[in-house]
Amino acid sequence: MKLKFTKAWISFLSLPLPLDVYKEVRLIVYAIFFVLSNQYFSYLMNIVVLFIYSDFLTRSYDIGGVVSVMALSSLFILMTQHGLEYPNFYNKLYALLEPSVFMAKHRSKFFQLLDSCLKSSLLPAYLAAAFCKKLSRLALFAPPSGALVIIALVHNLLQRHPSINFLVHREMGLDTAIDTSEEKNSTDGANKDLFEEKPGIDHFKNEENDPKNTNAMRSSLWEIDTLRHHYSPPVSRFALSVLNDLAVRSRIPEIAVSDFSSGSYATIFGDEIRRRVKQVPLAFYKMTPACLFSELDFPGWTFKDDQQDTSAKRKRVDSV
Amino acid sequence: MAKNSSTGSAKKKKSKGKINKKLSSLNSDSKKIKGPKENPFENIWSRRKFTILGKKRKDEERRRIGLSRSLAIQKRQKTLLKEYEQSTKSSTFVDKRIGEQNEGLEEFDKAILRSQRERQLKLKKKSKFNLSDGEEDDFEIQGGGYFPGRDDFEDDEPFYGDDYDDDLPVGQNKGQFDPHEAEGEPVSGSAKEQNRPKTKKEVMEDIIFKSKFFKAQKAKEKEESEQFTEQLDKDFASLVQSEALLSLTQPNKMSALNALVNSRNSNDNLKEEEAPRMHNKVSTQHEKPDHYDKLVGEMALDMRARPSDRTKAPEELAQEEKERLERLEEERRKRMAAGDDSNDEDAENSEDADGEASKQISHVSGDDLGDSFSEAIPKTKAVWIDDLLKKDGVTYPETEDAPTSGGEEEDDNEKEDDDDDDDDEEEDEEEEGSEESSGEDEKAQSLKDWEQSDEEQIDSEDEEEDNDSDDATGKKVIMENQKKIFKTKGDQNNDAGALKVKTIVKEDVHKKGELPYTIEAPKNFEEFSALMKDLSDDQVLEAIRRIRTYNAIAVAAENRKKMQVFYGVLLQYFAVLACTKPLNLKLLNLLAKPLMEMSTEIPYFAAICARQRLLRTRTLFCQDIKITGNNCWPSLKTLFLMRLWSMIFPCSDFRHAVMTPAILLISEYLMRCPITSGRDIAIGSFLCSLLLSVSRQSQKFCPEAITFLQTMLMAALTNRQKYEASQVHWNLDNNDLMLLLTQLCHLMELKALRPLLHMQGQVEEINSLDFLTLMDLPDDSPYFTSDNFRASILCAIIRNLKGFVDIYEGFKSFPEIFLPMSKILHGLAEEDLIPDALKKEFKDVAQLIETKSEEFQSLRLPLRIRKQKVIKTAIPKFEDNFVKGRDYDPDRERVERKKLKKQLQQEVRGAVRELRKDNHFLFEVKEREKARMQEEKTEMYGKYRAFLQEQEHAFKSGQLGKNKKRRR
Repeated sequence: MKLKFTKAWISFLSLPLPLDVYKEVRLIVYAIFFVLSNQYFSYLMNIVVLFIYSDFLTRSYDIGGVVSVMALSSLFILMTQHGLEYPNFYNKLYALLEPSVFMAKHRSKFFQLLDSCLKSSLLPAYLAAAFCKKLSRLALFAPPSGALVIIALVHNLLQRHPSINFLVHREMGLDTAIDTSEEKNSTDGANKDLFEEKPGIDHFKNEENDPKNTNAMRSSLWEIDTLRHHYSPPVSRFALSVLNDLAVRSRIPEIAVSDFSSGSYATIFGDEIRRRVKQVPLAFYKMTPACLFSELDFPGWTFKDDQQDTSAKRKRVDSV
Repeated sequence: MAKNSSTGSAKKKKSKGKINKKLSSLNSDSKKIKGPKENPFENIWSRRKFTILGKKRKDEERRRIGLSRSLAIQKRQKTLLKEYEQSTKSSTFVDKRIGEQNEGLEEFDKAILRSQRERQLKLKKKSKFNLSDGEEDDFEIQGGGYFPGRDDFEDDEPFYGDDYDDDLPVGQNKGQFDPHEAEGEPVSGSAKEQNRPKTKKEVMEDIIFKSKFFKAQKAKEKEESEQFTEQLDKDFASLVQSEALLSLTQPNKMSALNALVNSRNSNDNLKEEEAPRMHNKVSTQHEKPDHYDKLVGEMALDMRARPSDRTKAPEELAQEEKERLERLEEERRKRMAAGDDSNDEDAENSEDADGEASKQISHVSGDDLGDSFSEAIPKTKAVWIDDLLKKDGVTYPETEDAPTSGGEEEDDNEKEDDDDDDDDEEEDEEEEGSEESSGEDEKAQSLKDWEQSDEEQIDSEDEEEDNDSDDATGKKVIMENQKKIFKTKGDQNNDAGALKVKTIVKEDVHKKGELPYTIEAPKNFEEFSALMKDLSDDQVLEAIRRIRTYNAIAVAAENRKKMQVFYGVLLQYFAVLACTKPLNLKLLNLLAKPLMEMSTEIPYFAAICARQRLLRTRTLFCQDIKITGNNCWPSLKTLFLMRLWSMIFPCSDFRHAVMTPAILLISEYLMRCPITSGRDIAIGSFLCSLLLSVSRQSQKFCPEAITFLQTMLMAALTNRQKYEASQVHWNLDNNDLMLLLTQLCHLMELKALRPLLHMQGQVEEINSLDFLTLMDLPDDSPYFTSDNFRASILCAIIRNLKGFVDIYEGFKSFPEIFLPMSKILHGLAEEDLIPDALKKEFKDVAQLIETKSEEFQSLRLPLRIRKQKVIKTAIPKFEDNFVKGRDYDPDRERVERKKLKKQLQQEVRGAVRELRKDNHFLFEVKEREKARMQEEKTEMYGKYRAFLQEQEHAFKSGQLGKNKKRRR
């Protein structure tokens, strides 16, 4: 009976499923998988199920978008606890990084997982650099909560991998030696010359899906510097403090991503509102301005206040 | 006296001990030795045997050890020894003789000093009447007493020749004086005469001559001064006639001055005729101050400046303003009341405004005290009497001001007043009652309560909006409940009062179109809206102004609470106005000013209000966004309030109690609201421009606004291009675009957006968007789907983008932020349907972005945030021209400290050394004393011993006779 049950499952899972079913199925499978693994009634069966499940997860991970974000957590468990080998895992993970992540529902879990996936100090430098660069590039378009998470992640990455310190500190005179060693794989002499000529060009390829080809090794984290001017006080302060921490050579404990991963507009707004009002400075005007909107401040807009005109215009507009 | 005491004490001393004497003799001995010839020991000096390299020699003088030692000993003898001697004494000898203390004086100088003192004592007033005991006094009496008397009659005595005078014997010549000397010649005499001391007579002559000479000079001076006065008078007359003085002095004073000058002139003329023309040259410098002073004195007497009013403190100004309003109100009411029995006079009053005040007062005070108010209620009567008293006291000089503010209106309304006097009186009474009751209520109402009630009012007002838009029915129920609660909460009394006020004010305004001068600050929104119902915009502003001045915080402390309540009400009024469908932008603009000014008075409260509203807006927004298909873009009210706050509060603060949440909320709108219609795009781009105006001040980075603009521009690209982009997948530029498209797709439904911004036909002209018209249009208006709208919204967006490009040019990742945009812009510029002007703008902005990016890429450097470690060098440092004693420490403070320490050590050592030497010295002194005592003792001992021996010898030798035999 059990065998039949298992077979049924296997056949079901191997079917190409529509998106919404995927989400449901994943949860069920996850539950069953745990039941099975706990009971240990058949080691072999377990293995089979495991394979099937991992296969399923792999496929769902390959789909991309929100589904793969959800699949990630299960895959992570399989990889860490059950020794699952997953080729191109980091490439997939890299591909998951896109602006939608910051608005997705499970972003908190995702960021924590991302942090733990990148925890290993055995990761190659190019990969860490690519992740750093990609994340910080995303920060330029992310909401403040996302920016906070990114800063934390980038800080952790930089702390774990001293080999990518050049992202935040590169001496112009000294880096030629480093470059030659680094760019053996991409034996592109012309590019290198360009780099030396124009240090300001960001060679990072944002749209590249393979971290190997992103050229992140030849870039610098200007984005984090820009975040110092973020309009949201927590973001700008955090960016500044992280930059200050990085300036010191000594090792600084990693930042717990879970502190920031569950942030949203609501939390940041709430923090600001809960903050005690100590003093309220007011804008200073030599002459109190008489009208609310001036057309100088709002290019492309006009503010006409006489009623007749507007009504006439409306008529005209309606006729159009 | 000093001498006496000193001698006394000296005697005592002598009797007390002989040590002193001995010592002093010793001292004198040493002095004597030292004086004539040098002590040979003092000549011993230490020779420097070697010259040591780098060692500084203080002076080339040789150090004479013996000399310095003897000097030190001398010093000790003068100080320490004295102290030691005094240590066992109960009194001291003080030498007060003149010049005795001073070392440098010779005996002769001392004597001179003493005689000087003696003379001075004699010349003192006290000693004037002392009986004389010598000849000197005679002379003094003669000089002081007799001469002036004699002087007069000897003036007329005949002159004598020189020779005669000289030859005269001293006795005969007494009392006469030399005429020759009176001519100004100094006392002349031969050499031998000068040599001999002057006789008494000569001295007297001298004195007489001098006094005469001075008299003549005085007379001369007097004459000269008279002449000069005349001259000055004349000059002054001409000066007065000139324009210069006229402009300087008071004009009315001028006439008096002129008169004065005229009279003087006539005198002068007379005088001049009489007086001979002998204008000697006069030293004007001497005379001038006299007359000038006189003139100044006159002027000071004439035009005494009145003390000007001091500048008033702001509190006083506010108080004054309040009083003025009160007075005006009282007057208005009185006119209303008094119109009944004095129609004619009022008519007259309206004719001439100047005489109005005085007439009224005379009428009031003279005619009948309160008779005309026989039917009026006592309360108003009291007010009226008060008014009268005030009039008498205060208002008199200021009635001129009164009509200026509302004069025209009042005058026009005078006739109307007559009709409804009775009503007004009732109103007065009612108003007073209501004021009292409401005053009580207001105290009970705390700030917090009010906040809640305000929120509820906002609810109710929101509800009105909801009614308009016809959605969220569930919410409406809740809010209605809240409203009910609020209504029950408010006291009945209060309600009644408010209602009454409402009716009164309404009637007031309705019938006469005139505002009361003193308006209590409204305590809730209904009251205020009732007050403002039928007023014109300007009147509303005026009413607010009057409320603010009447309840100014500077006047009374409890007004603060009132103003806070009023501020909330006014803000609500602003919000409600922004919601009304035919938008009254003019009034909103007008309201902005008082709101901003009031915020400066109560900043903290303003911030609290703003924060509460922000919180409320956000919770509403969160509710809205959960329901899909609900339009969650901010309402016009929110937009207006945001703008208002961004004007009241500074946008550039790092963290501001109001602006930070406000910007966060705006960004959230931009990020999270789905775009479903053209109206949404318009609001979104308006929010972007709001953010632009905010971040123009703060230079802060707003990713949301950039993302929004980018999405909009992307949406404007046609399908065709997108298709191409997907076809040529690995083409870099297009690939970039593709990726962005997919990235941003989820954020805003780009597909739904696409038709909204695509140009479908040619547009001739691009108008800039009219904000208010747009906001008034319904969502499904055809305008939003017209190409005109698309062109103008694209225009607005591109201008916004340009603004952001300008602001963000300082950021290090500028190319990363804006380069994707420039690609889109290039794509847009290639499209066919977009008007040329717009295309040009697209190209311009793209160009701008690219040039700036170029600049960045060539100029910016990779980050270098690591601090460089400084490696310690082991290379020894050498100093050129090293000098041994000098400190080469670069730390100034440390050098200073070292120096001080060294100095201290030196001082300590010196002190120790000195103390040791002191001890040695004292020990020596004591030792010497002891030795002397010992010597004395032994001497005495020997003496007695000798005596005894002698005695014994005598005894033994039998000289003492008697016992000789017995012993034997």
